[in-house]
Amino acid sequence: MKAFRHQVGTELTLFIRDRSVVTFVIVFPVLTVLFFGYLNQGGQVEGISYSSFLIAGGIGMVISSAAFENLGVALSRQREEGILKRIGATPLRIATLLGAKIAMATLIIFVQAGIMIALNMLLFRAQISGNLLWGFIILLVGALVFATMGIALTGISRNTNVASAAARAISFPMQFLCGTLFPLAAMPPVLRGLASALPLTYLVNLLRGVMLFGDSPWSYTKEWIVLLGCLLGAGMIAIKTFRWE
Amino acid sequence: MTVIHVQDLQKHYGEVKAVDGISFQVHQGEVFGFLGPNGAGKTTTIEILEGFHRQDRGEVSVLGLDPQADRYELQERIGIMLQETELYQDLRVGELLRLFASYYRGAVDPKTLLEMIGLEAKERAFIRELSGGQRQRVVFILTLINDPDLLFLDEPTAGLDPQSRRAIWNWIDRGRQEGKTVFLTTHYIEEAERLCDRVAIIDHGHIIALDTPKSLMASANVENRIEFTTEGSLNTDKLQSMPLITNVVEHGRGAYTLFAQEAEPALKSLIALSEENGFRIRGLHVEGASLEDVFIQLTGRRIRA
Ligand SMILES: Nc1ncnc2c1ncn2[C@@H]1O[C@H](COP(=O)(O)OP(=O)(O)OP(=O)(O)O)[C@@H](O)[C@H]1O
Ligand SMILES: [Mg+2]
Repeated sequence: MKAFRHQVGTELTLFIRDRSVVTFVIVFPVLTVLFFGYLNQGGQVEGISYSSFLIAGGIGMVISSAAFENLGVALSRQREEGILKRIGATPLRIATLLGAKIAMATLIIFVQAGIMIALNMLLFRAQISGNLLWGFIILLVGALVFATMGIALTGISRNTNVASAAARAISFPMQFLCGTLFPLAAMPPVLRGLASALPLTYLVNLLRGVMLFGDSPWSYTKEWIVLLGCLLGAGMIAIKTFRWE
Repeated sequence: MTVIHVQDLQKHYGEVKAVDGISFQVHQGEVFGFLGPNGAGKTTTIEILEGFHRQDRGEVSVLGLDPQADRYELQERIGIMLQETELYQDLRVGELLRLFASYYRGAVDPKTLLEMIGLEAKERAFIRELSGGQRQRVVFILTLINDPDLLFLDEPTAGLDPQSRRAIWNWIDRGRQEGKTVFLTTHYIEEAERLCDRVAIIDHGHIIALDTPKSLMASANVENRIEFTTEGSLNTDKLQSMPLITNVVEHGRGAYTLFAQEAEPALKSLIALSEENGFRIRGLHVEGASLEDVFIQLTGRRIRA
């Protein structure tokens, strides 16, 4: 527990001290959401205001960048630099180290979700008509699923360059196509097909349905199956491919 | 008491036999050294003992534990200095030490360690702000943070300035006085001679000699070494035929080592030979026997080629 606490504190300190990461993970998604929110003020999407629609999409973007891309790339950089190996020369458990990184990513996601919700409500009069507690739970699940995928990606990537290119190649389309900024129904079929192959689509669907449409979380069976399947698959790959150096 | 037990250890990387069937034991309280050239298998061996890699064959036991199966228990009780390592550049020295202290059941107060290495004033400095020597000192005290019984030091002073090197030697001595066991690797002759109670000379994955530095040097049966360089190549037969010269080694063009039972007459005849043949002697250096001689005798090469 002591080690976990210290490790989370360290992850937080390192995050705050790295300006480029803060910009990329915190500022960039917020600006994107503000920009699109401003452009489409007063618009309606799927029966709710565009700004409400955008809340779930913005959170989805953050999950993809903080939990998946940033965590995966940072981990593979630490492996390449030799920091991980030095940690491997202590009794710190792998699970504690990764748990701390996931906790840190989750924290960023919560802060960001708070910012997104507040901005959309204050500036663009968005409304949350669904279940916030369930929204919270889905956020946690999403953070865990995408962080695990980031760790798995590090495991199968030979080095940081590969990991970072692959993470970017997956994260970039996810952040824009998965029903985050535009409704899936409004996209050309090719892109819709692509979106249906990306796991973020299912998370955003679930989150939006439960938090904004007020649907029951249990009416999204397909979404749950995809997300838990990703968690299981990525978890197995992550465990099999983890290495200190 | 045996602290490290290695029996018939083998590790291959494809065609490369990094470690090719070595056996040795390290006893409690001794400083045991692996001395050998680049690629000899030092890091491979030490990292198998630390639990980083699994051997292909053979048995290893460290503090009575299996480094693979009992990895975490072992890490609680040993201190490790890797040959190449990196620290969080964006942490302060104090933060880093407290973080590592939190990894162990019991830890030394980081302040005590900083005092020991004379870096109390740097507690709030970022790791990236430290000089190379200061950084290496921090890397060194990280190995002591859990007050380990056994230290693994993989080339602890490689690339360091003489002052930092001597400081680390003193701390290793102090560890020995406190009853710690130390397993270190090095390719510095002086380091092995100065620090180690016993030295294993390792080459191409084999231990080719293992004893106290004194006994190894005695067995080399060489009392003096005369090194010099000349502008062109010399006829080694001529050098060899000088009186009292037991061996001549040429390292590349114009660099020679003569081995002699007695230095003075050998030097006189070398100077006579130079006048006779009109070559100039440069960089003359005379030394008593060292572990380098043992290595050269056993392999015909120098440790640092
Ligand atoms: N991961 C690896 N993959 C392939 N070959 C390896 C690997 N690690 C070591 N080797 C090879 O095994 C041999 C021994 O390497 P090792 O690192 O143990 O040498 P060393 O004695 O520590 O050398 P140095 O003094 O340069 O540190 C070398 O030939 C090296 O190329
Ligand atoms: Mg080495």
